[in-house]
Amino acid sequence: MSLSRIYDSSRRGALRSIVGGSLLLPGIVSQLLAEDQAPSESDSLSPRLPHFSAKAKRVIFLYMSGGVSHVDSWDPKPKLVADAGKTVPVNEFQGRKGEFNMFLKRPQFEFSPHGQCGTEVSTLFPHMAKCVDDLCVIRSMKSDHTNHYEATLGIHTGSFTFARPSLGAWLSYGLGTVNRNLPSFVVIAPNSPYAGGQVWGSDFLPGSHQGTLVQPGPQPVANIQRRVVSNKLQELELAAMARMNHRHMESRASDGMLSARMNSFETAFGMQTEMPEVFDLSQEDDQTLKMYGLSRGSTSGFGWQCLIARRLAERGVRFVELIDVGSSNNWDAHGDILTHVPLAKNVDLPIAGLLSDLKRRGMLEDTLVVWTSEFGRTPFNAAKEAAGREHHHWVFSSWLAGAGIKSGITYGESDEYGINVAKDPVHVHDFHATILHLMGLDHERLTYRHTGRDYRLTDVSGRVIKEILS
Amino acid sequence: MLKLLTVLLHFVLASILLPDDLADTTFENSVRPVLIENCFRCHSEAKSSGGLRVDSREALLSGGESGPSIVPGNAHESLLLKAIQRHPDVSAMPPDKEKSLRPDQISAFRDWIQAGATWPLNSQKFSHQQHWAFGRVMPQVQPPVSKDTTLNSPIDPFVLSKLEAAGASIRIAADKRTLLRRATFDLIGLPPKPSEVDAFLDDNSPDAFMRVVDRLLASPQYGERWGRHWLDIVRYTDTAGETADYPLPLAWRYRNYVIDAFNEDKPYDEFLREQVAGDILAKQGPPDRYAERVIATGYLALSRRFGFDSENYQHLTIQDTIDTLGQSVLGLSLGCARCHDHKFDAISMKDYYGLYAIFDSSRYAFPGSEQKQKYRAMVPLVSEKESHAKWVAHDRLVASLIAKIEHAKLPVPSAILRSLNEIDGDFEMQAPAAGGSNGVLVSPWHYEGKISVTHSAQSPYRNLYHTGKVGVSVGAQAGKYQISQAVTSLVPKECDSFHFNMDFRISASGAEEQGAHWICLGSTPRLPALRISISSTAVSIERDGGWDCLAEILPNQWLNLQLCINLKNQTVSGAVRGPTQDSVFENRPLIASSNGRLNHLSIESADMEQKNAPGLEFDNIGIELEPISVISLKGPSQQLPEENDPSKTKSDGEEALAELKTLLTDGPYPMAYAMSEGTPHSVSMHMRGEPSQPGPLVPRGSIEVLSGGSLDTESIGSGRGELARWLTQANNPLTARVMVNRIWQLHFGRGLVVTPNDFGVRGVPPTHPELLDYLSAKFVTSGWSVKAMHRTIMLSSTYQQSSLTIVPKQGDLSLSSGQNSLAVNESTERYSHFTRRRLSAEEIRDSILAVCGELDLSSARGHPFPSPLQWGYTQHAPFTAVYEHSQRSVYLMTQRLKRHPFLSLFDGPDPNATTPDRLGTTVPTQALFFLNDPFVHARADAWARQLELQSTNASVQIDSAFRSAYSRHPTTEELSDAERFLCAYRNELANYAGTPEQTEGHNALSALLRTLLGSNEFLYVD
Repeated sequence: MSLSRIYDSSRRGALRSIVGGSLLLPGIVSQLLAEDQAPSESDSLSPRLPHFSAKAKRVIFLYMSGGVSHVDSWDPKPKLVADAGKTVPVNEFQGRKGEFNMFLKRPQFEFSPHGQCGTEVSTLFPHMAKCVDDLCVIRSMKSDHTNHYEATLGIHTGSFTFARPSLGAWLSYGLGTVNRNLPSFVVIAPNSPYAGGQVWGSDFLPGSHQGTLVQPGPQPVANIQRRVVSNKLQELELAAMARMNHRHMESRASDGMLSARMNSFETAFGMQTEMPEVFDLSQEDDQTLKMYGLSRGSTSGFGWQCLIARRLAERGVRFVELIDVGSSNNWDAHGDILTHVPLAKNVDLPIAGLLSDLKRRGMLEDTLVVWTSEFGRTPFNAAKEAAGREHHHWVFSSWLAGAGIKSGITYGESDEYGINVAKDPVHVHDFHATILHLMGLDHERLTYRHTGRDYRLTDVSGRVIKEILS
Repeated sequence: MLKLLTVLLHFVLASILLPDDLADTTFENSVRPVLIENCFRCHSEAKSSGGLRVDSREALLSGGESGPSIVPGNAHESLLLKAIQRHPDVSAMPPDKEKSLRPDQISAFRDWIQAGATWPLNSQKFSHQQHWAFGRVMPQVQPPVSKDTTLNSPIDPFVLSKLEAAGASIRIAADKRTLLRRATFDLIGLPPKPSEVDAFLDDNSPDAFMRVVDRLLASPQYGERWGRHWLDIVRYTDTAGETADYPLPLAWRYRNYVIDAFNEDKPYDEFLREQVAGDILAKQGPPDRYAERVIATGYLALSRRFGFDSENYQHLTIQDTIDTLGQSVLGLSLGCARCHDHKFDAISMKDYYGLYAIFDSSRYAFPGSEQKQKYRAMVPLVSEKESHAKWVAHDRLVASLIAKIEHAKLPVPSAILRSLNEIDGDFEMQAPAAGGSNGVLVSPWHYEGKISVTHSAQSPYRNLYHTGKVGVSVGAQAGKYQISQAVTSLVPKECDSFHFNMDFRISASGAEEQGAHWICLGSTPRLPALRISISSTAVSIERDGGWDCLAEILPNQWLNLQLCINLKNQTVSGAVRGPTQDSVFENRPLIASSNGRLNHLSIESADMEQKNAPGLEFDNIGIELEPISVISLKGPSQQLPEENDPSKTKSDGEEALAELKTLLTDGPYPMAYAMSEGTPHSVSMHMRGEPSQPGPLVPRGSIEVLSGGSLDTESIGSGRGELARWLTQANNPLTARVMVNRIWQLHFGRGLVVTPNDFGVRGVPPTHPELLDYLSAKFVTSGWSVKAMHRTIMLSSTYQQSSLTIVPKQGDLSLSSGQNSLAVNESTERYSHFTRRRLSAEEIRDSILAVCGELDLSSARGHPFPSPLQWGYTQHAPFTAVYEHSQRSVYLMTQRLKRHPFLSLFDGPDPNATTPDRLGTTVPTQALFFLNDPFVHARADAWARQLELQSTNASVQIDSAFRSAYSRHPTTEELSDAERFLCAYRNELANYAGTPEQTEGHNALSALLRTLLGSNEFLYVD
């Protein structure tokens, strides 16, 4: 039992304890709770005001697992094409220090300008290329580590070595949630990523902020399916339990912990209805399904993940992360960069569909969409004829779109070969600081006291990239 | 004048704009980290380039050779600002343009200087004498309290006096049922059995509760509950935590050691000493305690591993050890001192690296990792003498089996379970790692200087080691280097002689160099008893005052050196052999000035003259008690008699393979994932926490506030023995206070110090300092008995108070006067009632199993991990598993990377860091567990079947269920309510086709039982 829990448990608002003992219909209860906007310190998920007014209300975070080659996708390098086969000296290769002469490797996909803005994108992403007028492409991302595990942890938690709360957990902690029938932070992933569940963990933040895993397939969330045959039976059980709890409360009325737990059953009851509703795509029209490249009845694939993300966002979920694959058979193209092709095909149309769908619904105005990988891939390799590319964290590309973002621009530059940052570096900490800022949170003020220290997502650094804010 | 005014005005304005705390915040967040990150390397204690240090305000004011660095209140006149702005008039800082500070960092400096450059007071060197936690534990007298209160225990006056001062009092005692339920969960983590409830309710003697406490403390389930608390604190898990999360099949021995220690009421000081230095104590203690003491060091061995080649991140593992040691035993966060002297506590970098050197001089069992998939350096649970003999026999058996397998042309599985006795003399555990390691040496070897592990240095000889791929290379003109290993465990004190083997060659290139390499054997690095020199022309031995040539040699030829060291006569005999060489020597004296002990081996650059040495490659180092066979280009396999019948050969081979697999998995004797002694040495501070930036050398030692000193650099052993003593000696006030506070916290839900892992300045001071000291002193005088502390606490009126804030009317017990004068927070803080708590994750699962009659109370051992022979986990496909059983939850297999789904749902311990305090969150996904999880449904189902066997009468079933779940009978209202529920549920079920009529009653009863399991009364302890 933590100190804060003890303090908080006794400070709960009257509403919750009144409601707690009631047998009101679950829907009404959650509505009452949702309307109870007064920040309740006892309830770590109740909505909280941001540090300052923000354009973004929620984030959809698209994470490509394994390391997408920047020079084959978002960062055109004509000089790399021209000088392919020549050697360059580098002082580190795959974590080993030393002097290495490396062969420049030609990008395998042609670049051309797109949209009104003319941002160049390669043929790897033909559909996303059509959305460039909505994107801010960052070509100067930097990470701290050359290994998947650390870099994946880094892009999610700001810590490259130790488990720390994930970006989504920090946002949930900072802002709470507006829909108590759904978790504040949802991760949709077909397979476990590098570093596993630490990627969406809440670590030292209260457990309610950890990501809830949704796995594509017939049973996307654990225990969400009612096990008894009817609602009526479950209502009987809940009513019996509520009566027992109510009697138990009689001599313990001031204990907010007990009433909170009674409420949690009503919320759970609501989740059983609302979560399946999220996954019920029968009301989506054919045109919408087509935008996501999704065939009716399918419950998997990145198109499904993207559409579910929109439906979660609509219902007030604060942070939705989509992981395209997992820790294997991913973008980690050591052997052959052409293995990017099927992976790109998996995500390209769905992401473009998601952007257009959000836009036509007016949701892109208050939804921030983030696309990133844990690092890029080397523009060079040790052998002249190598078909693949290795890990490359010195520079890579990501993009942001939607709420608060200057659209149709690029920011930052890599050098002529795409080896290092040439201009306006955006370290992972800066990236995080900017995302928090867009959500109305000051990354230096969003702290949590743990083991005698105030922790933050951005450790002791991070700069909000003001230049890309609209 | 005008300028001065402006300056003053600036200063005043800035002070107004930046109030002190805000200025402090700017400093702590934006200035100090930048100074540490960018400037300390050249301008602090270690080094002061240009005469300048930037680690205090005073230092900045006095400045360096160019004058004062800052002019407080006038940023633009400050050299520091000009330097970071890269102003043309001054030397730009940091010198490397690529490391230029960012505009926002520069402006933070400007603001800070402008605001007066305050250096927050609490960050100046902290004087620990002033902090309560470092003060001596003072004897306490009980404070006076009003006479009319009956008090049960010496601790009550401490609590009551504070309550009375606030106009309140200790609340009436909880009723007997509640008290029994509270005590039973507290001590054994399970609900009381109905028979136990009856017995206690019937027992009206005054010491009835005392007997309950004694019964519970004597129960084997006590250790399973309280051991779990300790396992939380020491972040116990069953996997290593590097990127592939390798399983630790032997970790369970430590888990069970902890459980047993609590059950035996092992004195806490001894418990700590065993965990820090059990392997050392084992050698001193009685043979029957050898194994448990070695196992105890699992506490340290369990430190988290990092990266995909975890030995490249050993510094992070040691950091984890020190962090956990500091927080668990001392309540101090030592980790900050890794990069800088602790801002708040009395911990300096020197303190930190003194501890670091102790752990770096120790050897951690290696769990395996993506890069090196085999585990090794497990520690034998039998004495050295016994294990060495068994290891030799085991090795021989392995070799003969391999010979048979090879003869049958079957694939030979690679060796696993290499134990401590392996000195890695063939360097096969040092294989150069891709993507990170540069082929440097890792434990058990310790090295300094430029050496590498290469394929070219693999010796062709196979007289000692059967196979091999690598050896050690030292380049020509390598300069000063040393590789060393403490070999204490290989040479028993009582032996008369032992044998040494090494293969080497002088490299062809650089063979003209005149210098030499040394092989030293002695008691410490600086006191060799034997020194052999290898130059490009000769192998020589040192005698007092000179060198004797043993053999003339040629470069670029693999040679073999064998020595037989006779400890009785203090002589050495041996030979240098090669394809064309056989130089034998006999009875040369050992160096007389040595102390005769031989427990340290090193190969190093000769330091007698400043000559460059030729390149040297070496391999196959061995120290054996038996003679070592002479050199051979053939392995032992080819020396075996040939079997000529092919079918016999094949079946022999298959048999041998099966036998070998068992042998390799089981090893020659039981082992533990534990610690052993490494090679003692000092370490360089890591500037900014980076091992790649070495600072001053620090000898092994303890932290200053523990009054522990530094160890002599020549002293034998890692220093963990001394550390164990420092941690538990009488004048260390922290150890007892921290543990007593934990025991208190786990009974009351909050500690007297509410930050149980932080007794430092950033922690919260105790609410009842006198009580904390009273208990700490009592703890020590009781012989550090945890069980005695439970008795003291649980027999108190403070513990036995009711948790109810509104007392039921029927009880006719009114609130004592003044009770309402306390706010709820204050009331909690002052213990004016008992604080209700939710069951922990383990209690929830165990209680469900227990009331359903399905809990298996036997003690578990290891987990059903896949055989280590099959391991090949990577970050792409890490180890992951969930093993179900119906034993207690403390025996569930937990992982670092993937949290156990049930434990993580109910706020189980953090598998990666010490957890002093469980959260009790309430989230809807927990409710979904009770509504829909198959575990709950299956348990309720089994419970219903049992009740149905007991009776067919619903009211009897309901009564029995209430007694199991709530330790009480149902009220009349509850009984009729439950019966109505059963009826309604059956009727509703009847509406659904597919539910057979005969199971409707059973399903309804199961549903009722689920509501009991999900109810607050079941989940909370009053």
